[in-house]
Amino acid sequence: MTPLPTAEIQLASLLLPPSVIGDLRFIGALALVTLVPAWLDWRLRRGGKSSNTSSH
Amino acid sequence: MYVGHVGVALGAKRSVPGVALLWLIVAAYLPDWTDAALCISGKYRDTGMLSHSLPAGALLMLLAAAVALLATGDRFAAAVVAAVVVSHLPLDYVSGLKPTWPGGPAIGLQIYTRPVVDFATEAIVIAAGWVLYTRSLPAGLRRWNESHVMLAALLGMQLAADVARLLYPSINKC
Repeated sequence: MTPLPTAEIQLASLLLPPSVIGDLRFIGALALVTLVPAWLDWRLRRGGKSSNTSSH
Repeated sequence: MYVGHVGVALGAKRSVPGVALLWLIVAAYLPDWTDAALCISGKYRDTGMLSHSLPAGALLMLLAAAVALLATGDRFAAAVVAAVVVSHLPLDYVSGLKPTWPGGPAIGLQIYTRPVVDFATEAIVIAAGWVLYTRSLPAGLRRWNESHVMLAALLGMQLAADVARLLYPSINKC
């Protein structure tokens, strides 16, 4: 027996076609894995610069 | 492979400190970004021939190298970016089943079907890249906890992806 879709999926399906939901899920996963480490690297280097500046 | 590609970008950052990590990560995922564009345009096919085959990889590699050369004027940086792009294919041959060339066989170890093995494999690639990355940092930054936050975030994202794959094994790209 096929399990019933959750309320969230039913609601999303009313608002967006399934193909668009799939596209958004894939692009969101790509964006997440691209932006999170890039942002952490930027924070790390910016934090290092400000701590170097404040120590002098 | 999912987050493992970030490991390659992190490792490459040590060789080309002048290139922003963001662009190295974009290069590492260029075949997947190509798939994203194909998804949006409605031309995506599960075979991945237009994004993950050897001819597609070669084309994306040349394109990325040309853009990197134009942007930096540095041949070495362009070569590293090209290598990062092309690294996507062998890593995906480990994790999935990918095309070779038009009419050729699809090959791969398909460890995606075993999420625990997939997590362990990707964690090794992530950790190796992270170690190289931390060595590229100035001495004062190496002790900073933020670099460990990055490792934890990457492993966390990979774990989430593998758990999702366990729960929804038939999920497709788009």
